[in-house]
Amino acid sequence: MLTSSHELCTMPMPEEYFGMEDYGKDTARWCPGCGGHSILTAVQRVCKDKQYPPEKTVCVSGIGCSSRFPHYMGTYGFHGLHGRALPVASGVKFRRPDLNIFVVTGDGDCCSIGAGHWVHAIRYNMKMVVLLFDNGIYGLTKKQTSPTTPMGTHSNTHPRGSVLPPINPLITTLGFSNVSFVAQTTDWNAGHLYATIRKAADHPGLAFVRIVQRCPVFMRDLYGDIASDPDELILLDHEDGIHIKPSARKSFKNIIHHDPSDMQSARIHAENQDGIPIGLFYHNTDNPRYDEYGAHNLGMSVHDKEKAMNDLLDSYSIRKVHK
Amino acid sequence: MSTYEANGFSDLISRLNEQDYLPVLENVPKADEKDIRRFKKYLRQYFLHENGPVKDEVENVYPILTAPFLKGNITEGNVPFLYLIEKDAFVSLQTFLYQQLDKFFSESDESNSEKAIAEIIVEVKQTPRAKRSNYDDLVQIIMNVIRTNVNESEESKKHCDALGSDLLSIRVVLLHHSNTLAFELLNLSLKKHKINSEAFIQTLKTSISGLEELLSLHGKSTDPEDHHFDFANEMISFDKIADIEAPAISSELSEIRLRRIVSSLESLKAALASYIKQSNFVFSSDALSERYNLKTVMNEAQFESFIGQINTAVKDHLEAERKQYVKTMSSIKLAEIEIGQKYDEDIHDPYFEKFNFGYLSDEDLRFLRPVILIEFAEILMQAPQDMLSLISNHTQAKMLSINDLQDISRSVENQDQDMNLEIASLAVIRRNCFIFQGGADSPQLLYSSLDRSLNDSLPALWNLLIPGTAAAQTILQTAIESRFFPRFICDIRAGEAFGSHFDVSSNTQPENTFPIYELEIGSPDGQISREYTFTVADFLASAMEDKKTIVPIPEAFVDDSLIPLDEYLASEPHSVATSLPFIWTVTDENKMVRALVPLSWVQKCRSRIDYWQFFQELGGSNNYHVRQTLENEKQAWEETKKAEIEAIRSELLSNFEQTRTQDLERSIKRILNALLDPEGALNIDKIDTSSIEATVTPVKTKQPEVPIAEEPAEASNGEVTEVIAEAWIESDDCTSCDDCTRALPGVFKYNSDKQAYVHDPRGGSYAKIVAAAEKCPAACIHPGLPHDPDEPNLEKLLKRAEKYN
Repeated sequence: MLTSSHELCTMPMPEEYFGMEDYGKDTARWCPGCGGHSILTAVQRVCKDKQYPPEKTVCVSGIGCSSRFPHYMGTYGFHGLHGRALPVASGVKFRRPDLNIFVVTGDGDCCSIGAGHWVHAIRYNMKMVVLLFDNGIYGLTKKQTSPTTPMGTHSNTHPRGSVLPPINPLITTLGFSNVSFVAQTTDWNAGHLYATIRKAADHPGLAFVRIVQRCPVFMRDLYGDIASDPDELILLDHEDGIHIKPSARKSFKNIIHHDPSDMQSARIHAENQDGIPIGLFYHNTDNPRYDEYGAHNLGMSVHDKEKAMNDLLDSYSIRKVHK
Repeated sequence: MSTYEANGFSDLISRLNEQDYLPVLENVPKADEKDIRRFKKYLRQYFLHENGPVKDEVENVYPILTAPFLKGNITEGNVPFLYLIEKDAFVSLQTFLYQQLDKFFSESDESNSEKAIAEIIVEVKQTPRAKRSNYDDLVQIIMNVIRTNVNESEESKKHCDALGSDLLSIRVVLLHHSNTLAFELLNLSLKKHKINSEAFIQTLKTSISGLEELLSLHGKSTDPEDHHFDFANEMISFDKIADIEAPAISSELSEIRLRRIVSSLESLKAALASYIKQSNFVFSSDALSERYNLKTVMNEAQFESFIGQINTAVKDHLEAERKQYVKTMSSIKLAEIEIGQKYDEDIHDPYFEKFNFGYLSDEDLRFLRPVILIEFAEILMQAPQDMLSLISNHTQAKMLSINDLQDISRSVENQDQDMNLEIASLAVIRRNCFIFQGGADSPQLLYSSLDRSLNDSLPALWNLLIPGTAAAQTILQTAIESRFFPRFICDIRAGEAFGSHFDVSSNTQPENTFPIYELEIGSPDGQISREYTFTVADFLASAMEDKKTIVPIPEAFVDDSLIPLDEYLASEPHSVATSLPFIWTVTDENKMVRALVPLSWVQKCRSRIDYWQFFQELGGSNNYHVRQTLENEKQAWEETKKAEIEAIRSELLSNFEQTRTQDLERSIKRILNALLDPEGALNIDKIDTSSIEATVTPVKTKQPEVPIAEEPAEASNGEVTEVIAEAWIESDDCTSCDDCTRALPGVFKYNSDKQAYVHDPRGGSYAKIVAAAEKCPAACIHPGLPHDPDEPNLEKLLKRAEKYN
């Protein structure tokens, strides 16, 4: 029989209750005060509360500050190519529909080099949670202009201030066909952040969450004031939307009623320039999902596959007819 | 002990405890948690891939419900049983002996008779199979035992001889459980069918003699050769022409009529000869015939075996047979009309000219000789369209599809698809076909089904499971018991309604997915009774005894993630994704141990349950739509009842409220009365109620003047907040940025959600706490008041802290 001297069992067994420590790994090496810490904790909390087995959970990222995320999660992870987080995640989902997938991508990764994939991933609507860490700057390369950098921001690439208006990731995503879940939250409202990711994880298709994130080192000006001023936030409220604790709700001064099934109204709120609207913009659970079409032949044994392959090949063979 | 009945095995299992079988569950201390985790990892690996460390040196275990059979403690299959020809019934050896020896042993000798019967059965079990192959041998054994049991007086000897000749005079067939039993039973029913077909031979004979009589009345030879018309010769042979013309003149029989009668007579005689020779046909493939020695077994039929395209041969035979039968039937009908002198050429000519198979009623088809095709199910399923076309186009086609347990064990081992077990479900789509599915383990059921379908004009499919060897009898029974190969009957004649054709009631507990048995076990708390489910895995584990596919899990490593297989199968797959299924087994020493069932078997179980549910739905033993309807009815009923209860409740409440108000008023009146006028306290009626009303009513409705002390109004609108003396954190808002926990690990710590809280407000200086509050991105740290009044620069610090308190 087995003895305790073998140190073979390195993986926590899935039948256990998973605690926060099961989802954590290493110490996050983001700058002190970075919004990434908050998001990491929120994702770990969602995993814990939903009891996702770590070996059945995958975090896929591209390149950037945000994309170091998989290293800090005690789950499977894929630190991919720049801009390619979404296609990698789509591939994982297509062949392994049983896995829970979190895609972590930054404003540069998603909205710039990966914008092409962004369009199609939204259209595929495969079940996954896409977290857009939008701090409005390329932080890993020490302050370069990103597609969401506000006009006039002085950066290493635009020392005299950026010259083009930024992309609004919300209004862009809402414009893609087959979009099914769009929400926005901030890293500094931990309660709202958690509730939003939780809601996204419950969504049956692709849930796109833009997280307005502070970069305390390179973009201190961008959200620094807003973070300390609750008046800047506009809470989108609806019974089908994001639910936060009543105590946390009290701190919001601006609350707007918005029905997440109303696309027209969602677009209007997404374009709001007066503050940062947070909450669920659009939600539709009826949209078709591409991963459902890919899953029909999963679970075939090697024998079945071999047979199917041979049958296919045989259909091209020329047969001798015996009379 | 009744092996010949359908529920024999199930009876035996439910009485296992009576056979001195008591599995024991031992109390074992749990292993180290770390070890359990490692072991569980191995188990999971084995569950998925059937390899890994746990596979080595596996102990031999047996499924709990079949262990006594597998270990050979109960050798039921070894005892022969008998078919009583006169009673057309099967009887176990024990019952037979009780019936026969009853007369021999006098009433006073009852104990002796029981002893003798027990001895005979032991003797029979010990005698090699070859030496008790027929009934005469059995009588020999019985007589030997009895002779040793009685005294040696002359009278007794005479008595014994009389018993011996009595026994020999009974018409009995001795049968054994073996791989050829099914064929022997088929042979028996063919024999019986042969006797039934005597009636047809009689009909033929009557028609022939009637026609012959008719011809002789008109002075004609009854030899058909004499009336043979050969038109080619007719032109050259003068004699022939004379012959033909003669009867037309000499009698009133017209030439056409004569020709008609003679040709009928000819075909009737041919049919008679053929029917006397053989009343049924059996075809099989060469391989099957050799394996089960069918040439010897099927002696009541015309047996032929083929190599290769057996379907084609059978089809040709069926065509020829049908053609001949149509001709014979038309001759019989014609003979009937002719003998009755009712033949009207205008009416009957076109009828007989077009006479074909479609003209035959079910009654007419009764004597169509059955053509039986015996073939392996596996081969039949290679060309299911041929099989279906045979049973669709030919009413007399009866198909015996054979599933040999040996082959099944092999295919399970190779993880092949088990499509060929499902041949019966294919035949269901041909809705006019008699279907029997079951094993050779219940001769009575099989025999009656064979008999029933042989004597009917409907096509039939018998899908049989037969043991590979005589010893596999128990395995065969477990296969049927576990729903791996459920019994199923589709009898088209059972009723008018479609649903009434199907019957699954011969299975054990047909309403359940698997049969459930109660078994007493020994445990640390004494003997307790528990329920055990007989699953497909129990069958597989019994059948694959040597392969050790199941892995015993030592009691010390057991935890909650192991769940019984039946529960595992009944749950949604995703809800048991982290669990492992097990079945209960026992070791050689009857110690109970759980055994892991691998994924491949779980899949097999699922496919078998699916198959069983198909039959359950058809047989109505567990029908989804019925359940749904009942559920709806129940819901509707519950809602109505709920509404009624609600109505009664509200009525009662209003009554109660009314009574209470009245009583309250009365009580207050009494109290007031007592206070105001102690002497007249008990007399309510004395009080002036109008004055009291005025006093009482305001008390009931008026709100209390002093509000209940709740939170101060200021606190609720949040404008004025009290400064809490000690530092605290709104943990819900914490962004887990590590700033505070890194700067002041003595004060701030993370909770289980990785959100900070104040662990010890005195664990750091007030200055550092204030600095942490200033740095906190969520501004959720409240520094409170300084705990050390001697700290320097307190005034400045308090001012800085004010913003965050």
